[in-house]
Amino acid sequence: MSDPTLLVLASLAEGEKHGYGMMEDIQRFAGIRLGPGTLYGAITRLEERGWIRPLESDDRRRPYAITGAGRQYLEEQLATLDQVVKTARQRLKPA
Amino acid sequence: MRALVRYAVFLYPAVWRARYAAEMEALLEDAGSNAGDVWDIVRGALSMQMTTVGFWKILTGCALAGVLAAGIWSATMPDRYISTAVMRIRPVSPAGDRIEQMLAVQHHMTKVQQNALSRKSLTSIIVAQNLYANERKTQPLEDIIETMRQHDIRLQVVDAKGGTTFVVNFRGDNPAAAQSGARALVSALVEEHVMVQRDGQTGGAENLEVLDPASLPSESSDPDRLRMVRNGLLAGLGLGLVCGALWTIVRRRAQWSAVRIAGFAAAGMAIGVTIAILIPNEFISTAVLRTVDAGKLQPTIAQVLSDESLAAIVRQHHLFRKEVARSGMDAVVKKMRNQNIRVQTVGLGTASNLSVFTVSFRYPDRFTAQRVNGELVMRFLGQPQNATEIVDPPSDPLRPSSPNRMQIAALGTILGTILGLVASRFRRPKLATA
Repeated sequence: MSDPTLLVLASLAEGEKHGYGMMEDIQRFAGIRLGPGTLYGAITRLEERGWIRPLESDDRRRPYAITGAGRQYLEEQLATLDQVVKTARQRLKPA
Repeated sequence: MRALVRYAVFLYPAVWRARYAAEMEALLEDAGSNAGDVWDIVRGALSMQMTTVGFWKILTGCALAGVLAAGIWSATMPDRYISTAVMRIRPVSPAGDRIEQMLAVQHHMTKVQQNALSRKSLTSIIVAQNLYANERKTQPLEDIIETMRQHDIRLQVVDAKGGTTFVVNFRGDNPAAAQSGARALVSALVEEHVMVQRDGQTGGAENLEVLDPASLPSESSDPDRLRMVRNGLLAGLGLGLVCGALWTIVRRRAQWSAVRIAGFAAAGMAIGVTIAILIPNEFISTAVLRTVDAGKLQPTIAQVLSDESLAAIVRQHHLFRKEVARSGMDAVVKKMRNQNIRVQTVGLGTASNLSVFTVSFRYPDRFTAQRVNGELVMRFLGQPQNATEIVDPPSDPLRPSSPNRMQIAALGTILGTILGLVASRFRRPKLATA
């Protein structure tokens, strides 16, 4: 799974984070380093669709949180991915 | 590297930068940046630019598209060159009535031009000069001759003092073709002039001379590529204005005021309707006449439309009273001849001297238009030197010919809408109230 939007949602599912926090978290659990342009492209899209929301902050490092709609979307996508993984594993087993 | 990153961030749309640039800067300070990050930011910025469409981007895009389309279209059009010759015709003996001489010269030149531009004459010019070689492979000669008459040949009087000076223009694909075409036309005019004089067809004696032979054009006369590109830019700007306005109305409803736009459109329509109502109606009465001697038609027209004749009609029918009181009879007669009366030849009959022509008179009152047209017709019939008969008597105009009120109201509505879009787009935002 390398879709930046899913990676960001998965990172925020644990709790609110700012941009650098998301980048580090994704690097840890997925082994993928998202570039700043890619990360903020995903954040822009997710915020426009209402799946994440910005939180108030005193400095430039603004944290984000996943919304209810974002959680629902993430669950649906993970269910689909799960089905794909199961099917692929079964087919890879020697006959 | 920091400077590169800063420039890369600047590529994002201004709206995006206002919202996210500070956060991205903080991220870059925490995570550091490398060459890969610069490319990642540039790619993200370009993607954001493509997906963020706004009013100015649409306007600029449409304007550029208009310029490009017009530029490509004008580049594909072939160059055309115009060769010019100058000729003069004047009476052999300048003594005598000046108006009669002018009419005689005019009558002679009409005959000469008719013969020089006849199908037979132009066919021989086309064949002898090998003009329209490509067109002759695919089109009938009749069509080529018609195109030649309508678009490529122009005879224009430039001075009528001391004789009639006129220019002969011919337009060709290349300078040599233009010059040879103009030379051939000049030769044809001279030949026909000699034949018309020899046969005594026009009754006078005139001298036709070439003042300036056919020129070799050094540069193309059209297409005017700069004008075409300018028109493309204006069309693109107009389209961009409308599309950009529609886009931002849909995307950012809060920024536009539908009420304001509708208000301006309604005001435009109201102004258009008011103007259309205030402009007085004008009616045109038309009669169709036929004369057996086409050669004497021009002098007949000159007599009927002379200053004395028209002044008499104005007095008899009490026409243009306010204008006569304000500007005098001379000015009114001149305006009447140029704007209210139209005499037009509609075609030649099978006999060579037969000529059918229409006489039209325009006036704000329907019945006066018909009555005065009848007076003009009677004057044509009364000319002793030219037997004329009525084919169709002066019509009774049931509907006004102008103004077109629907068109004026529609134009007012469109202009009002455009003004409303502009006013709505650039209005000052309302201050928040406490």
